[in-house]
Parts: sequence; C-alpha cells; structure tokens
Amino acid sequence: MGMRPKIAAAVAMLAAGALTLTGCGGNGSASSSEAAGKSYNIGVVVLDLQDPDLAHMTDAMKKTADEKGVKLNITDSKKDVGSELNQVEDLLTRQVDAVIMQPLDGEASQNAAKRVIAANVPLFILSTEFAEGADVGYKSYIGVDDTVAGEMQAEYLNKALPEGGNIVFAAGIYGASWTDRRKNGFDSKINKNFKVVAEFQAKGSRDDAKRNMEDTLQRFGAGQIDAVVANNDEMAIGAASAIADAGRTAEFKAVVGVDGTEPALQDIKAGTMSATVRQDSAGQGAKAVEVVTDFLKGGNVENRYTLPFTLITKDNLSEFLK
Amino acid sequence: MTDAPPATPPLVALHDIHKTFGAVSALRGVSIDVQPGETFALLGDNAAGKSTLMKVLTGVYQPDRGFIELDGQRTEFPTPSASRDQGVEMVYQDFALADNLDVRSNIFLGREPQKNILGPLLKIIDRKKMEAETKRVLERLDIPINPRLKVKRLSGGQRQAVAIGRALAFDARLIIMDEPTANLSVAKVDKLIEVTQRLKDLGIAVIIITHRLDEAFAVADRFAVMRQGQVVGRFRVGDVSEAQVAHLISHGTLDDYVDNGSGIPEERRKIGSTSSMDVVDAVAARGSKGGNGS
Amino acid sequence: MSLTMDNIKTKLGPADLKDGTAATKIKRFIGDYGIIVLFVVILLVLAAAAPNFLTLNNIVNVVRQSSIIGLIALGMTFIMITAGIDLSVGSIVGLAGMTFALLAPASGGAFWLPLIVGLGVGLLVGFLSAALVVWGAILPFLATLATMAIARTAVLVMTNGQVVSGLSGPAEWLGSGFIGPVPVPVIIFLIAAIICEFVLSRTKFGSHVYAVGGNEESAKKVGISTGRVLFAVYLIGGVTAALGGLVLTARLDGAAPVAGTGYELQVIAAVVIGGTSLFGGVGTIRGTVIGVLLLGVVMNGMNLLGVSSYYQQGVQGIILVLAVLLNRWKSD
Repeated sequence: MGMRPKIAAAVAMLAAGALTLTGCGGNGSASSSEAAGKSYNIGVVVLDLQDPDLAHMTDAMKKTADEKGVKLNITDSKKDVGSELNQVEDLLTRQVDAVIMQPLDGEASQNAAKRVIAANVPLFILSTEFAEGADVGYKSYIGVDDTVAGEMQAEYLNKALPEGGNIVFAAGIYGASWTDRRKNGFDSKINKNFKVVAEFQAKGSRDDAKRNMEDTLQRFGAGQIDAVVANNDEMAIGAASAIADAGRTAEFKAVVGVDGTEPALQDIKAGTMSATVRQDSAGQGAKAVEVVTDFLKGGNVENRYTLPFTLITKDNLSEFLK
Repeated sequence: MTDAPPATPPLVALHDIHKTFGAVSALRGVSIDVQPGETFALLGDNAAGKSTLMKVLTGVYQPDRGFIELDGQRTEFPTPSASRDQGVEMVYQDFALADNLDVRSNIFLGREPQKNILGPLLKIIDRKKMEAETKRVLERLDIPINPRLKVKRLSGGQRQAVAIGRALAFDARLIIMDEPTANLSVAKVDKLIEVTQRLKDLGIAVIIITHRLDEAFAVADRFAVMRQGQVVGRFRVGDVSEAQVAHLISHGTLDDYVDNGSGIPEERRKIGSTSSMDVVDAVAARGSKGGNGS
Repeated sequence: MSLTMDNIKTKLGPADLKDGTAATKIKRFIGDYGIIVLFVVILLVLAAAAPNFLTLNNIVNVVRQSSIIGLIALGMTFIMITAGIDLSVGSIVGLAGMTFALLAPASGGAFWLPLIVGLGVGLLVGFLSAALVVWGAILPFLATLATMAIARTAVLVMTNGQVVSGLSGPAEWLGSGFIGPVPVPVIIFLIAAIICEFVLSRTKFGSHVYAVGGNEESAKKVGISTGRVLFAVYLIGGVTAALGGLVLTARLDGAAPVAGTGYELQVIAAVVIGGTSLFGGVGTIRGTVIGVLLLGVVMNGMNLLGVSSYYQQGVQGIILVLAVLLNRWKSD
C-alpha cells in the first residue's frame, strides 16, 4: 500500500519530465530556425510579492521582459520551503523555458533547484547564493557580492574623511559569509590613515550593538572616535542609538551600515546615521531577465553576475524613502 | 481470638469500609476502632489493604461503602485537610520531608503560620512562631534539634522526630505511622518504643502500619491483622504468640495452626533483628512504666 | 539564611558534630560567600586595569545593561528552584517586545495598553509552558523547548520576519528615561527584584516553591498543591521575561523578530552563578542579582579593556564553571 503513492508520484514526475524535455527540445530546434520570432516563457519564483522591495524588483523584471519580448510567469514562495517547491513544480508542469529562482535558503532550497535541473530546464539563481560547495548545476547567479558592500563603505569613509580617523567596527557573526565578505571588502579598500580602535561582534543585532557601543563609549572619551562601521544596518542603528543616548552624536563624523532598511533610512534622515549601502533589487531583476533571454536565444552566459550596491546618504535619501 | 469491647467510646472507628479500584476489591468490609491514647498496630502483608484503609482514614480515598466515626459521631473526611483538621495526622514511611528546608519549615510545611504586614492583604510567614513551636514540639518528644538545621543534615531518627513533630504541632489526637522503621538506617525497635510511649504519655493515639511482627508486639496495645482486604483477627498483645500471628498473616485463619515450636515461617523470622525473647523483654520493660526507654 | 555559629552550637545533634572541622568551615565559607568574594575581586581588578570602570557613568551603564537579563533572571530563579527550567524566555522577550512595538505607535495616549498586552502575551506563553509541564507531565526542558519554538514562530509570523522600528515618546522613556540619576530600566529591575525577594523569602507561596523543588512528593503529601505552585512559577517567568522584552524594545526603539534569541542561556548562566541549583530546592533572588551583575560587569570590563569578542564568551564560560564549583561547598 505504502508503495503505491510513491510509484504514482514517480510516474507523474517522469511524465512531467518527459513533457518538459520534449518542450525544451522543441525550443532548442526552434531557436536555431526562427530565432527572433519565438516567444519564450520564463518562470520566476521570488520570496514574497508583498514585500515592497521585491515588488520593485518584479516590476523591473516585467519591464525588461517587455523590452526583450519574453513572457514571465511570476510566482512567490511566501518564504516557505514547501510552497517554494510547489511553485517550482507548477512552473515545470507549465513547461517554462527557464526558471529564475530566488532561493529562500542556501541549504533548504537546494531541493527545489535540483527538481528544475532534473527536468532539464535551465536554472538561474537570483540574489541569494547557495551554500558553498552545493552541488546545484545552475547556469548563472545574478546578485550581489557582499565584498562590494564593504568596499563601498570604505570608499565612502575615504571620501568623507580624507584626513582619516579612528573607527569602531561592529562585526556581524564571525565566520558567516556575509560578515566575512563585507569585512574583507572594507579592510581591502579603507585608507591607511584610518585605524580600527575597537571591534566587537554584535551578531547583526541592534541589541548587542547598542550594549557593546555603550561600553565602547565609556572606554573612549570625546574626540577619540570618529566613525562607526557596521556590517549591517541593525547594528549601525544600535550603535547610533547608544551614541545618541550618551548625547555624543556630534562627535561622530560617520556611522555607516549595510542593507538600506527603512529604519536606517529614518536614522539617516534624523542625522544619527550617515550612510548605508543597499542592494539594487530592481537592477538585479532586470539583469536576470536579460541574462536568461540571452541564454535562451543561444548566447553565452557567465557563471556569475554581480551588481553594484547603491550608496545612500542624506543627498539621495529622498529617492529611497517611502 | 476476639478483643474485649472497650468501655469508652472509641476515638476513631471505621465501620464496614469497602473500596474497589476497577476490578480489584482493595477493602472488603473492614472495621477497626482505636481508643484514645491507645497504640494500635495494623499488621499484614503487602497488598493486604492496610495502606488503602489508612488513606480512607486520612481523606485521600473515599470509601465506596461504610463510614467513619470520630468520638462516637459519624463524620466524613472528603479531603486530607479535613482529616487533619480533626486531629488525624499521618507520618509517612519516607517522612515526607523536604531536605532543602530547615526543621521548622518542615514541621509547618503546607500549614505555615502567617502574620499580616501593612494590612490584612499582605501576609508573611511567621518564622518566630514557627521556631518557638518547633522547639516546644521537639521538647515534648524529648528530641531536641536545632529548628534552623536543614533536614538533609539530620540522622534517620531525627528525621522521624521531625515528621512526628509535624503531627504534634497541630494538636494531633491520632497519629498514623506508616512502616515507621522502614527508613531508619538502624532499624531499632527500642527507638520506636520510646517514641510511641512518649505519644501515649501525651495522650495521643497511634496507629502503626507494619508488616513486622516484632514492631507490633513491642509497641502496640492491640492490633488487627489484615489479609486480602479483610480483617482476619483482632488481638490484645499477650493474647497470642508471634507464631500464631505469622500464620494468620499468611493463611488468613488459625484453624489449621499447629504449634510445633517452628510455626514462624522462615522469611518472617528474618525480618526483625530482635528475637522474640528480646521483644518479650522490651514489652516487659515498657510495661514497667517509664522504664529506661530500653 | 546561613547558620550562625551560635545556633549550630546549641543542641548539637550527632549529625552536626561531624561538620565542625576547620577545613569544612573554610569550605563552607567559600561556598557561601565565594561568589561575593569573586565579584569583589573582579571589581577590584577591573577598577585597577580600566580607568573608566569605576566612574558613575559606567556604573549606571552596567546596571542598566544588566537590568533586562536581570528581569528575566528573576522569574527564572523561581522556576529553577522548583527544579524546572524555562527555555522559552528568549522567545517571550521577542514576542512581547514585538507585540509592544506593533501596538505602541497606534496607541496614542494610552501607552500603557501595549504594555499590558505585552505582559499578557508573556503570561500566555508561561501558561502554555505550565500546562505542558503540569497537565501534560512533560519535562520542563522539553515543554519549554516547544514553547520557545512556538513563541518564536509567532513573532516571525506576526511581522513576516521584518524589523519594526520607531515607538512613541512614553514608550522610549521606559528604555532610555531617567528618574533622577537612575535609569528607568534599573528602577523597574530593582522594584521587581525587591518584590520577588519578598515573595520568595517571606511568603507561604515562596516557601512552597522551595518545597516543590526540594521534594515534590513530600510537598504533595503535606497537602501543598504542587500543580498550582508550578503553574505560578511559569506564569511569573512569563511575566518577567515579557517585562524584559518590553524594556528591551523601548531601549532599542524597535523590535527585531530575532530579539532575545539566546537570552535563555545567558539568564540560566546568571541564575546558576547566583547560586541556584539546576536540581532545584536551592537559590535566592539576592544571589541571582549578584550573578546578573557579575556577568554584566565582566562583559563591560572586557569591552573597556578592548578584549576581542573571540574571547568574551570563553571568559563567561570560565566564570560559570568557577561558580558551579564554588556552589558545591555551600553549607545548606
């Protein structure tokens, strides 16, 4: 009895796979003969269509698709691994020509990705990378490199404080790739006339950053610190809040985060933070559709496309504030 | 093999108590009575129904049939605290002490005296009263222990004293002691004799639940033998031999008893460290009132 | 609570006589006062090593930082004395804090309403834990592991995993305000600690908490409603954790869905350092307050000395081990 549903599922999957295979083959032969006239159907799974930032991204994708003359099937996983898998399977059943997937998780989403590969449909990964060493044969990754975020923080400080200064560094989680990459990027680009006088691990949390920053403020008097650099916005906000509570906001020439979250933008507006760098979601979406279309039309694609972050300061804040 | 009907109304009498758990009849019409100031032993094997009977008396169980009389008045013990309110106190086999608390807290555990502070809504424990009462109660037992000592640092005998003191602190008229020597590292019957004698002097009746003949013979005035949920015999100490009672415990009747001098089954002889001669001596010592506590 | 020499000497029973040797007395002294000695030593070392340590500013800073963990540790002390444990406190911090953050901006003048609801949420989770422990007869470790997961899920679902930022004025006062020179969180912690100390050491309920932890069976036999006592301690734990969450949210002017993650371990460490036994029956609020301050001072001191974050957790671990070893020699 227990075997029967399994067999049924296997048959269904084989059938789906076969259909997709023939579909793909059809496209392949078609693309050589009637290249320009063929309309491609691209399946997209993003995390959450309700998320304003992702909505912004999918809008950009639709716009690019219109320009390129391809069709998009946009779905979302609602941040659930189960529904992510369902959405992928549905797209495969609908015989899309390629899948763009924004994985929910570097580990848990590998299943859904492998389903696409098994169906012989080209897979493109958007914005979240799979865990290192993951055996998932996608065509391209289109997203950001956290190293660049750190580099941009450094470049901002280099420009804002050409005379250099003393920095307090709020690290995320030592060993986590986002922390290490952002930190390495920052270290590689920051001018020699800067000095990190204190560094603490605040695990990406506002809570830990505030507590550690309070202690650090006790340690250093007025004029001994010039800037705070944090691996993410929550920590920058925590540090800024400690500084504000101590009434020492004026002493700090820069408090810099990463992510461009709404509370961080509010802090920039209030003057407690000075800058953050944000992923360009819309740019990523547009790029992904562009890459996939190129691929489907027979072009060569690279394994990795990384897009720059956007620096947000008081000067361009209005573009990003809701 | 019957005990003479007592002249005064009994302190406590259980009449025709029945208690069934599912298909098991734990008690099948049990009647016993205890006189004021009397020491009464309830003998029997495991599962004879002794503990169930005492749980009926302490309000833990409600009888299916039968009733309880206190001072000749019919009464009910719907809860353990109802039973305690009437002066029926239980001293558990394990003494039911909290090792982490001191002596006075254990004596008053669950019934801590309170006093008002800042009005009637805010009550705190009255530790002074607890300490004074504890001293008083332990003095009555003539077993002085520092009321502030943690119970975990007491010897087995001292722990028992605390457990009995707990009963005394609330004006017990009847104290039920469940296997009183089972948790003493040195199972000395003489200690028990001392304590029960002291309680008797204080006019407190005692029921001792035990499966040890030597214990029962050493301390009790009267005893009842239970077997399979029924009382199979009631005796005054001195009216029967240990051998006869041992036979009764395991067979439920004396009809087939043959006194051949080796009537005590082997396993029963092993239980107590005291020989029957010692017991006789002990009884004699107690009989000579006050004595030296052997 | 400890015995004075006087009353040890009065009416010595055989059990007391054995304990009179000098070595035992020294051990017992270390067991009873070792943590205080350790605390003082740490204070002296830090005062000597870090010039900014013994400033009024920094003292206020440390106590304020410790007050949130401290609030949660108060309830945890009750629970651990009953030989229980509550792993859900970190999630309660997150859930109560998030509830508060979501309601606060909309509450207008009725700033107390989100506070009440936040505390209610803590009570609810505490009730759930208690129900699993008492009615479900599930080990506290497992029961609260479950409620920890449930409460955290609730936070994530409530906000879709987003940070909520920006509270109203009075709410912020709760976290950053002062009454005279004393920060509001410190005042809340002090008041709560005094109430808890009173309840635990002076009331009948407090005494029953110890009894349940010392010997639950005995407590039952003498007529203590042990189920009611257990229910009460998990409810207290829920409320104090929620209070911690409210103060945290107020202090950070916002709530993150992951807020409070890992707090349970810090809190348990502080309570154990303060002399409460994981096996129940032993512990005081005074001890817990010292444990909380000791951990807070050490973390602060390491930051003042510029000790790398790499080592900080390790130092906490060493202190925990020291405390457990010292408590082994306690006299009671």
